[in-house]
Amino acid sequence: MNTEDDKLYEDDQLSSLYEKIDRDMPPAHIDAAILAAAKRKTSRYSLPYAPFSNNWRVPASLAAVLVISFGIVTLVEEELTPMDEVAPLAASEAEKVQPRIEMTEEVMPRKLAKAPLTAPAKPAMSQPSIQESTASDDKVFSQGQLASRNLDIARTEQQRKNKQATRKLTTTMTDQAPNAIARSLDASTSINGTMTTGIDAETTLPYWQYQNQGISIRLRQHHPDKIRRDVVARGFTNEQVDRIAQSCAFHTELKNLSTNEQASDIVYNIKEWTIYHQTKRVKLKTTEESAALDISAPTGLAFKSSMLPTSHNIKSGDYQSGLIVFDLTPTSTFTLTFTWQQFGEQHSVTMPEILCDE
Amino acid sequence: MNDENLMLAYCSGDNAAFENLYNRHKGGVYRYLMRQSGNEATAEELFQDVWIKIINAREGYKTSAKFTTWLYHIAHNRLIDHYRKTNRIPSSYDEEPIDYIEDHCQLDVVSELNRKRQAEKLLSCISQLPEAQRESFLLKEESGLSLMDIAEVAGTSRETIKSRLRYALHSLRRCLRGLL
Repeated sequence: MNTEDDKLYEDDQLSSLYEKIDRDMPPAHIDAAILAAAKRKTSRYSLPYAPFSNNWRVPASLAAVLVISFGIVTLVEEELTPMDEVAPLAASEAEKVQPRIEMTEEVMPRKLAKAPLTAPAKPAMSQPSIQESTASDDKVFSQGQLASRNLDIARTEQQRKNKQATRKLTTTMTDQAPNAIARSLDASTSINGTMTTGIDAETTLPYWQYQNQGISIRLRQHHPDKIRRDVVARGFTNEQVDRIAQSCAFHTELKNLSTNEQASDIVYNIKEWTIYHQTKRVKLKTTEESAALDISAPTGLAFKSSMLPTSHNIKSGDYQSGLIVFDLTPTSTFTLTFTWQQFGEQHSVTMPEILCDE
Repeated sequence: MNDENLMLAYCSGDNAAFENLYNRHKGGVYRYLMRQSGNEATAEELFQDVWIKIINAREGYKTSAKFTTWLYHIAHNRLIDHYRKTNRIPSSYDEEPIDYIEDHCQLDVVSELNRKRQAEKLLSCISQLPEAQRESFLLKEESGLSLMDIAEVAGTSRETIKSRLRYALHSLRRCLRGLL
């Protein structure tokens, strides 16, 4: 409580003037991330498949995190050129693309070896089906040098889990900037989007999807063995390959679902996206930062061109996709908050408790 | 419902209570961190850390302290940690501000346009204050805390806060004199 003495230190004129200064507020995506974190602490979000809800997973995850102790997010390409089309890096080059481990107090990041991956630049194209995407995966698999027994084992395990995932968990998420959109869309439509998670039929790995009238955002995990196959012959050391393969990779796909009548571009910038892992914010590593690494020219160019663009304008009916690799321990969970602009408004949606499968 | 009850409600699992609490204080805390750090990205980082700490500490929350005091105390400590990490702990936190003779220059009642210019100038003047004085001024304006509470937040005495605030107000008035 303010005392009479306190009033001696008040200056009404300055206070009045101070109130005229712009009332800066935190960005919407930060609001969303914090509120999601708060909600997470009071509710037990469970995935539809039982194995991940076993109690032993928690200490196992914590132990794994303690061992690894680093977390950084980086982006790598989605589609990987068959290895026989890529000149392997010399050992010296491979060392160059393996930056020194750096750690900060905030996020304890570890920079990953950057896979000098090659893929043709993705041309603007009509929205593909998920089946088309997974078919591409299968093609890469058939060309891989490590069509390994481990993959078979992993898939068998996933199929077992899949049987337990008898239903998809559907929750309703509120778009963070809904009012203007609601006005711009059919008044009878809901402004809420739908969050869905389950097991991807093709990859037998978990997926997370958010969809509203204007956008669809889908994340599905990329199998570690597939990543391993794709980088092993590119000049990386075994240790580097292992490190990359043990990262959690997710294919991210953004589709613009706005119709011709209400067509509106989606504009996103991944610098505005936030990730929380164990209450710590993890920054996304942008394409530009990754490309700045000393990767040999052919692979470096392909690496850059194949990554999810840092920012992009997605036209109505079009899509953008790319692979995001989170250097988190398998079994880790994290929260990812997407932000984008559409219908002249800033939007934000948080996908909570995304799990990186083993 | 007051802040303390909202926090207790959140501790009991009421997410809406937290949202209410967050919306009440997010602006003040954010501006405090923004104007103290002078950098938007840093402010965002610190801001999130502060609220995550609040969330994580909910189980041990006791109403013995005023919520606002607790909140800004966490923000202050996080800011000091940031200064330490960047190897620039402001000396103004250790120094007793030099006292001064009260300057009674009055701000004119001016047009809205001029008022806006004054506000912009004030922001610039605030940024030029030593960190400790700026903190006292910002806490006073943004949190509405008493001098005693501000002293608790800053981990110092009430007399020190009085001195910092007096000096800050004087400096701001002097800085704004050109616009009169």
